[in-house]
Amino acid sequence: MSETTEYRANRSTADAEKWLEEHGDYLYRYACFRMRNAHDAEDAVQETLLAALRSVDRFTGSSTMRTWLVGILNHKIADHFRKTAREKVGAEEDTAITSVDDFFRKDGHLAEADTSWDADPGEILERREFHRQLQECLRMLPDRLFRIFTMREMNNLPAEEICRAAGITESNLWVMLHRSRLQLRRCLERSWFGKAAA
Amino acid sequence: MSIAMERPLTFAEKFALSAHLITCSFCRRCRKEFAFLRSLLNRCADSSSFDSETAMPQDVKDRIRAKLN
Repeated sequence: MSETTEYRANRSTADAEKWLEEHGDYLYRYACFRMRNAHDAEDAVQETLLAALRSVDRFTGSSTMRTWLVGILNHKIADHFRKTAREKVGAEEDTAITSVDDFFRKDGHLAEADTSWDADPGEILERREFHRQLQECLRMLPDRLFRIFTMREMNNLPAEEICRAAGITESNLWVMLHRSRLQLRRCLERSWFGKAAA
Repeated sequence: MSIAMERPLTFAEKFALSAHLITCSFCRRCRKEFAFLRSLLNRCADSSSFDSETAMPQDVKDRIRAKLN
């Protein structure tokens, strides 16, 4: 190894250790939330930092280091989803969530109180209590629904790719996404927006 | 409404949805709220509010540190 190459390698390793110190907890918490499994989260964070170490030359500084690392972590979470999306499909997955019909009244209208959701998404997310409540509401989704919903809404994976990985049809996917949105909406309505309006 | 968030609707679907939304204020509101949820979830990962008290266990940090070297 030449002196310059060795210097670069040492510097990169020092960088990676700094990332681990500064962002490791955040990445771990985010991975735990997304993967619902501490062991998978640990592996994903480790793979993220190793990938970042290999491609640090591509970091342009146009975003923050944390944003860059979360971007890599999101790819790792998506890879994990692609590998495991067909596993753990239990009967409880389809029954744990209420039927779509339960969200509607007999006259066909949505059965919800008239509350106001007038908020800026960026601003409200910075409110720790709201963020905690959002995470709580997402946690209430059954595992498979949660993973499919977050792959679509947080990773922006194309519908075809999710269907392929999970072994479901597009019609199934739309129903699952719709159920997830209705459940999440109802949960936030009751736990946050309804209370704010009261 | 959810399908409209995933793919372009056919003319017949668009017509049926628009006709329903004209008469249904609840669904108009719901559509706005679905869009709000999508916007929230898109920004969720970068929100500083993901910080909390939970920390990565020290033995995991040590294991990762060893891998990085």
